[in-house]
Amino acid sequence: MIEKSFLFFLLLFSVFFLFFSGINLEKTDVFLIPFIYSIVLLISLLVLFFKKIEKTSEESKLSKKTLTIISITFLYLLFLNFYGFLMPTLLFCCITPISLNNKNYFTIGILSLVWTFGIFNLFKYVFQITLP
Amino acid sequence: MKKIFLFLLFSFNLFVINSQADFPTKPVKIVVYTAPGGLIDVSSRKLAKIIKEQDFPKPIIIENKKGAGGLIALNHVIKQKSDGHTIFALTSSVISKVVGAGKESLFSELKFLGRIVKDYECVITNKKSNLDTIEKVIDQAKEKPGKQIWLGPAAGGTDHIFAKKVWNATNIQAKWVPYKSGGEAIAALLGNHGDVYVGNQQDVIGRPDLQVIAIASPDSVKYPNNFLNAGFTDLKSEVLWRGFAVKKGTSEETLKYLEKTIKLAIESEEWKKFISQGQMEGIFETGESFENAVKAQIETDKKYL
Amino acid sequence: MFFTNLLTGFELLFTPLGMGMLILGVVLGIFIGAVPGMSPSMGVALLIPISFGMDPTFAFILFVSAYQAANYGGSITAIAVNAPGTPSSVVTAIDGYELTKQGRAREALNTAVISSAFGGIVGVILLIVFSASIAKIALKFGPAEYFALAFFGLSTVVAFAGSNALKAIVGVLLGLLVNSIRLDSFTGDERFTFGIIELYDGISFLPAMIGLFALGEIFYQLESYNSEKTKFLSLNKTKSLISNFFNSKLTLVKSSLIGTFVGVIPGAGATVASFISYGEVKRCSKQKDKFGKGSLEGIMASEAANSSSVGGALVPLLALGIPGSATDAVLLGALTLHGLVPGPELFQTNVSLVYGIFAAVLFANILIIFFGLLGNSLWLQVLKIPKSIIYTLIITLCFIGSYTVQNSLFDAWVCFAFGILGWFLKKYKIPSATVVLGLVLGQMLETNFRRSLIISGYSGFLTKPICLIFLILSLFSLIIPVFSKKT
Repeated sequence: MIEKSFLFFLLLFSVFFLFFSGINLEKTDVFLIPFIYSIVLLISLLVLFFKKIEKTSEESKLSKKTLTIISITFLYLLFLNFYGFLMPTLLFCCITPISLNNKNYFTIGILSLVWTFGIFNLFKYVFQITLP
Repeated sequence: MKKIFLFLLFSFNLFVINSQADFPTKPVKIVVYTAPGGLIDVSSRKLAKIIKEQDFPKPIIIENKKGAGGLIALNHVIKQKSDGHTIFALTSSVISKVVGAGKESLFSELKFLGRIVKDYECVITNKKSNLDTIEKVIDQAKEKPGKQIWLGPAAGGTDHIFAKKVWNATNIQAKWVPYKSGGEAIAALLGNHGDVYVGNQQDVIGRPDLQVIAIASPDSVKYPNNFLNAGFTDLKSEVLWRGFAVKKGTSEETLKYLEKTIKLAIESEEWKKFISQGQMEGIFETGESFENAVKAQIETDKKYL
Repeated sequence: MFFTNLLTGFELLFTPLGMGMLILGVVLGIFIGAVPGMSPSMGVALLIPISFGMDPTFAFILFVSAYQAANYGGSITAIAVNAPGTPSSVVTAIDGYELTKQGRAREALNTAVISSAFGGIVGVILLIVFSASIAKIALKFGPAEYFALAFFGLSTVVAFAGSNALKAIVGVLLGLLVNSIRLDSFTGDERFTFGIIELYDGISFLPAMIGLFALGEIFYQLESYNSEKTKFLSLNKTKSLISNFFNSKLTLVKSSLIGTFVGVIPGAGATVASFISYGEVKRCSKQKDKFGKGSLEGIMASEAANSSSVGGALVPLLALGIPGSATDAVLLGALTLHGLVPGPELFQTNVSLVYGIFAAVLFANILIIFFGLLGNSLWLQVLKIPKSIIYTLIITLCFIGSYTVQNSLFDAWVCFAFGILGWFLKKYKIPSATVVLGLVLGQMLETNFRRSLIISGYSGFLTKPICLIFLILSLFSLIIPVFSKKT
């Protein structure tokens, strides 16, 4: 199920490229090579799509753990965009281990602080790169 | 209550005024639109070093923001505050690329500070080919119309537009084959994978196999092989310039301070040596003169792009 | 004459300042290489301000030792946490991380150290002895030859294909298609960029790679995350390193040679070198099946090649004044900043600098062995930290690294997006390395194809000897595995 969905997504991807290369092809042959790539990709994907896949129960599901972490990471990036580096990273470093069932709150706290501020200052003073 | 409020307002104003007068208040960033190593990058680093040695009160950091021929760097600079702490190091190529992308409206957000280097555009060939004069190049182009290969950096920049101007003036048709950087194009020329390369005098320094066969400088005495002497008055003076801009809205005081700082730096011995070593021409053109030159360039570029 | 120059170089190196710069360069280089997102070119650029005021010879001892060390440094994070610190260690991650999962991280890390040093030394020896002649060969590479080389590089995809060739092809095509999102360099037309300025130069390679490998792996591992088994790394007893190397000496030599020659060609650098080397070594290996599942030979192939490419890349820089790699471009800039004229003239005007560079690269490799082996014991301790924390730190490091490439948050998003893609690729068993191959070689393939068409048309590809050789080699690469499977 997952595999088929992923393949389907990739199919959409190749069709997207195919379409946009196709409509521009008349104007300029700049799109010729991507057009060829997308055709070959489409064909390969179709072959794979109609092949039989062995099903294993674990791979048919989307792991909740992964999705949780992905969502947390997404939020982290979002916050990074709006609030800069320090606070979001600090929060992220605290929340993520906890959501992975790490109970050493004290260690997590200290590590988050050290890591966040350490990295920030390392980059700022040694490499002259200011994180957002 | 009212008195306290007025006092606070007054102090705040004083604080704000003082902050503006106290430029710089934090490290100044020069945003360079190429990867480290390119000439604008090297020039900026050199200048930054000199300025620092002239007791500039805060660190000067070079920030490389490469991409899209300068559009990404330009976009970034525009998003910063107009407090003079972000300076855009740009060249005439950036102007052309931005015009080519149809985004010249972005320039209205910039205040052009000044340009400090002028580099005459040159036509360069490999000594191993027999193209040692511009006339021979023209002859060869006429023998194989549309097939003569001109090498240079990405399409749409100063070098490409100069090539088009040359083709126009000499009435030839040729093909522009772009490379990611001048260096790669030079490598191709050294290997004889092209007929002509467009660049600057610096490109032949240290490369004994290459020669400048024509230069778009008006000085016919210093450069006997300039386009003027060859009879092409349209190509009297074509330059690649390098300069700086800041975001529009930067205060007059800050602008004057920056101008003064840069002027001091380019008058130093070290800068002059750097310029002469690269066979460039040092200039200092600021304010309206610079802005007008940019406007004129935008108009010309539109014709060729 | 040559030996006296070399001795002068060594003399300068073995001064307190010289050794100081060498050690500083190696240590910083290893660190820069290890941090995902910080590339060797960026690292050397960061060192430039430190060098102002220094005699150029010592400045360059610093730069080149950092350059050499950074190419090694990438392997550390590649092996330990599947987060290649430099693009050139992507291939190392493939087998390296597998070994880590098998508890053989120490072996993998030590192999990487020795292979890097070996490759680096071969590279610099070839540089010292043959630079002029090698440079001439490099110049013969025109657009057709570059296209053929890129095609050959792509043909090594079979080496990364694993069990399913079709999936590998899908992977490569994905990489190629994504790589075609950019402003066309010939005409300036927008290709799939839809007005988004950040895409005008294409999707940044480093963030995409970091996302695919590091984030993708973390997301995948989280599926089987068990709160009880939290230790990231368990270590088995290590086997004898020396016998491993002795048995694979041919691999090391071959990889080093491939790396040097690919490095010489301007525009083809350490990353391309490591892919081609891996492909070639696997093709000739008696233990083909181990590749991709934890082959020490695979690590040797990749690391020896990416390190020897440094010596190779210095060839065009010193012999012709042309940058052979992105880091070379920075070195060129540094030469100009220090008032020197790059190119063959350096051999006359500044002999001590040139031979100082040779000596520095040579000894940097020896220091790499020292610091590398020392460091390995350290990294292995760090990896004993619980997974929950390591994952967190790696994720933050990935985003930081992606950001530092161009000081752009867009790149951090790219990293994230590719992380999700990487996760799905792993689930569906499409090797991420194939996508990376497409991303790395896409531009080289396409732009040189088009350049060659402009210059010499379709017949150009068939009439140029070097081009033809590589195209034929590519066909062999692609076809032979098909035949060997059938027998």
